[in-house]
Amino acid sequence: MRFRSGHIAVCETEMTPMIDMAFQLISFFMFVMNFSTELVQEEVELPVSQLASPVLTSKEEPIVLNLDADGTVFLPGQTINIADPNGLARLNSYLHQEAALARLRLKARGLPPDTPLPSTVIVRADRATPFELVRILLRACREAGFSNYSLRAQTQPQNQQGG
Amino acid sequence: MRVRQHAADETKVELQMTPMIDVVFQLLIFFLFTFKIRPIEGEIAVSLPPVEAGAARQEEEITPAERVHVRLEAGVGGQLANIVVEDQAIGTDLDALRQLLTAAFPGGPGEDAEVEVDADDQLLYGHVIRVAGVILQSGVKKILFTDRPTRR
Repeated sequence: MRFRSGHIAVCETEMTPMIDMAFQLISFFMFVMNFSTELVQEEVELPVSQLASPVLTSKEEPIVLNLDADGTVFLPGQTINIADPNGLARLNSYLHQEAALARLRLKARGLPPDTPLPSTVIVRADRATPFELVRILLRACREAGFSNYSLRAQTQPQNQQGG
Repeated sequence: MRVRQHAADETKVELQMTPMIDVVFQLLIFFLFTFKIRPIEGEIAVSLPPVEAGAARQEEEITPAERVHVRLEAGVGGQLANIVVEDQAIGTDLDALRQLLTAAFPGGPGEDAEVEVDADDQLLYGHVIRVAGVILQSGVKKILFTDRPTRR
């Protein structure tokens, strides 16, 4: 009796529940993860407005402009400051480029060239930006020919103290 | 002897769990570290007419009854000091602004109702958005921003 039991007893860890849990966790994190396609600058502290409508659908042809409190705009591949004329010129050339592309896309769809551009300019400005800079930014966008704007705001103020 | 033979006959097929668990934990750690809760962003949709570069701002043909002028004056440090609706100063009372806007559009603001927001250069953007939220709540769909603040 002593012999037999000593031979057969194999100590095995139960792996199945642990693997179950691990897969549950992985699937949870996979689903809550958002691979956002918008060029979002996390440092920008958005203004707070409970009355802003939540963004549910992604915009058609979005152009994201992140504006910092001191006038820094983060364009793809370059960082400029619109408070200085040189930076503003570069912003203008970027916007005109985007507008020209949007017009080409309209042309490709067979629409008349005087159709308003369908692109939406997403303005993510810091809440501490003087309005003058926002005005300069909007003016540049309007001169490029854009007419749809989405001013981003936080709907909940809980992050107001943070950062 | 008999017992041992029996054990040798049972060829146990064992699944190699270790590599799978390794990979699973790697994935788990990757998702844990990249996990970040971002607050849902709201938007204030604004439609501004495009302008020709260098051209003066063209005045559209609209009846004055459909446009309300809201001037936001900045105080010390870019804080909101005063709201002037048309010619009526109301301080920083946003509820008063809401009431005035409701009164300005009898029968509710229509599709053409516009509010022109004329903010001082130094006013912080957060205050402009706060006021814009109130304007949108009063039912006005269109918000305009003036190109330069009017000096008084």
